[in-house]
Amino acid sequence: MENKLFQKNNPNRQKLIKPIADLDINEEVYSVATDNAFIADNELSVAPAITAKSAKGMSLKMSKRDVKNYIKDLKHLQDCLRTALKLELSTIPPYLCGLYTIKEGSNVEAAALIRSVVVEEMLHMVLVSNILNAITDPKTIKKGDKLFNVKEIIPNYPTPLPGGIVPEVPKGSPPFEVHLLKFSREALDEFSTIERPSDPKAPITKNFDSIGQFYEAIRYGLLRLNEEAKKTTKNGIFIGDPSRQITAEHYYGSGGKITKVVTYEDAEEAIGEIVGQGEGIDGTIATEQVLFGEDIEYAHYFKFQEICFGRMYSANDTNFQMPVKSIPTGKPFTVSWSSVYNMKANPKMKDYEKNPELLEKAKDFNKVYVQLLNGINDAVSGEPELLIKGITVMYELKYKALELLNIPLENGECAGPTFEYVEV
Amino acid sequence: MEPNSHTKLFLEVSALLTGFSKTELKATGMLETYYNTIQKNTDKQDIDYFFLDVHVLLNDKSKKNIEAALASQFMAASAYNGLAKNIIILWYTGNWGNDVVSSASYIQGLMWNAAHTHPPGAKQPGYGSWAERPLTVKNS
Repeated sequence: MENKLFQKNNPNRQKLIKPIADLDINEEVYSVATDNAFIADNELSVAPAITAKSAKGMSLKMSKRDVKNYIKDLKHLQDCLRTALKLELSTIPPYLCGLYTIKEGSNVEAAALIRSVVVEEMLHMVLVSNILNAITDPKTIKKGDKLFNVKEIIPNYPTPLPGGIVPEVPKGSPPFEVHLLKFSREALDEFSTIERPSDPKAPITKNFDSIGQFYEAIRYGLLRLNEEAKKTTKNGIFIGDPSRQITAEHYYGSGGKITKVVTYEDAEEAIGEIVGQGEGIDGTIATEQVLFGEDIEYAHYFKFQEICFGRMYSANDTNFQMPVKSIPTGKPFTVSWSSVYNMKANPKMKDYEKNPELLEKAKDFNKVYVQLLNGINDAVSGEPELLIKGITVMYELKYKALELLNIPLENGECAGPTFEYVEV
Repeated sequence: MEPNSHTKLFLEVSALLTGFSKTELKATGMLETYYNTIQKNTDKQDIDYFFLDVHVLLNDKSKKNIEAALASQFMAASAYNGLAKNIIILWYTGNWGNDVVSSASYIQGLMWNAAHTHPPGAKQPGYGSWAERPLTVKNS
């Protein structure tokens, strides 16, 4: 299973994401400062120059310079990492709804693909927590403090993507929101939109157009603030307590690699794992190496494309040219949109109020969900050994969801898990 | 009588016989299968009388203690060819007599829920679960 190419000591090992050019960044930061001063002095004459500058190098939806300077200070960086946690979590319930609504024995390949994505999203939550813990001064943590607030981190579906990420939607469609849907074409469209890489040709706005771009801003923030802090302290902003890190020994099961974060380089590797798994490796991959072997994990976006087309990618497919247009040409598999529980979209406990027994079942599910999040929160808040206890809870979550899906509603649809906060 | 009142009565009486709520029974996804199972394996006359009497019992406002009435009138092995007993065994074990109805019925047997455990070979509780109190116990 282990692919030698990805091993750390291999000199030919491909970086998951392009390293940031250190010099470049300072220059950009300065240039903002000078531009601003310039504008104040001589607003009219400089304005066209700036427009020209932004138009030239800009390939992302939020301008590259805005992305580089997005993070203001350490507090903002920590807030953004908390938002990243919320972002990762917000994707898990829709994927789980897609997975749970597949009836036993059907859509085997699709289920396996979605399942592998969910597992990796959970890994991403842990990786983001590791980065956040690595840059949090232990002296600022009060006893009993948790890394995040479970009640606040649970989104209310349908929800926009947290973090001001606004993916492009076809013309005329309403702004993108994440819905809880049964396994369907609509759901797969939604999943692909969540994971879609940035379009280099997209016009510039004030919003991030992809999860990758949001993480790009976090990376630049980490690098810049760390360089600044290093002038006064040896470890820069990486002064967290290493015992709060989740490491491979705490993480059971498959789905990528857990990275202990104690330096900037570790943080970059962790983000590389997150972005690489989500939308694929930025830019092109060296052609000399066979990178599309059977044992390579494809990025989420491409896994969802495989389900959309009912076909696996083959070794010769090139998928990393932007914008992404590639169609898989490998082994076909059966996708059945009808062997699915007809779950009501975006179910809520409120919908079940007329049926107290059903409401109780929905609450039972949510209790298990909140317990799972509490467990993860405890684990990333200084008790990493508790992470493993989440496994039992995850299994229970599935069984509780399936019970709800077996309960018919009056209109031919069935009940479903609501993923809402309840007190436990 | 409305066309599918038998299935409705079957759900009602199953809840009374098993002690699980109607929603919990639906949540097993076995309602239809089990209804068909009793249809297939029980004498039609017995089924008709059984549901007729269940209907009367459930609609009899003067009957204060339905469970006592069920026990005295339905539970004898001779009553309706033991149908009430068979229904209980069906829901709890997924078996009709000594035969398992389907792999799903084995998994969905209420005996596993009642004992806060899981059917061996299915619905795994996950690594390390043996060291913990079952979640269903913790949450109840």
